[in-house]
Amino acid sequence: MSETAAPSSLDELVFLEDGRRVAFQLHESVYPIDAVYGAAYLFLDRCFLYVHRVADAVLEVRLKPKAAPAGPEALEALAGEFANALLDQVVRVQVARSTGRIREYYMARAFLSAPASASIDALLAELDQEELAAEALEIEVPWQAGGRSE
Amino acid sequence: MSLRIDFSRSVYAASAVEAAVAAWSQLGRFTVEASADTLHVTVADPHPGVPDLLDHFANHALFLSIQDARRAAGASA
Repeated sequence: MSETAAPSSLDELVFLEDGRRVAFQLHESVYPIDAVYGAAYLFLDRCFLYVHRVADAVLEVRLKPKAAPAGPEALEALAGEFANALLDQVVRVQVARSTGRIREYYMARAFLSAPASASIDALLAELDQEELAAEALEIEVPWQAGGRSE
Repeated sequence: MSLRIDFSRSVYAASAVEAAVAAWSQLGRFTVEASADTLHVTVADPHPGVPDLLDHFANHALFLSIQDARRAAGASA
């Protein structure tokens, strides 16, 4: 899998395109591997992907459409889509990291502050109350109506 | 005829590559050699009826590696 192609760019993100596939070189300080995995996962159904470490903290991602040979415009569009997905995944990773502690705190609080048995007891008591209460709408059922008429 | 592909061990989990090899073993004679940071996979006598065999195989290995990484992240969270 080697290509000899001139680099193109999507504003800042440079990619190579050789007529059959596009390739990005991504620095892990900007695009963590979890984000690269996330973006790659989204394209596995329609592209062949190959991720390779080319240097310390530098990953190369190659995408080749599974469909019939794509033209330069289609490849450029694919590169743009992948770049967008990548950015989306970077944001997701950052949000997940920055809110991880607070999510853990809320989960712990939800589980620890209200014992499950107490809520189950409350529900059972509520059901008992409902069964004991009089029929709110006082709708007569046939056997009651018959009993009264006699 | 044989095909060859190298997987960076920091990207592709060894267990994922092994699982992919097991899944695709009917379509060629796969051998895996491991070095410090790379898994070298060679496919001898690839099935002629499957075009892009190596690409499909690499996709499967990547998919399983992503699954592995997510499982590990979930377990450590």
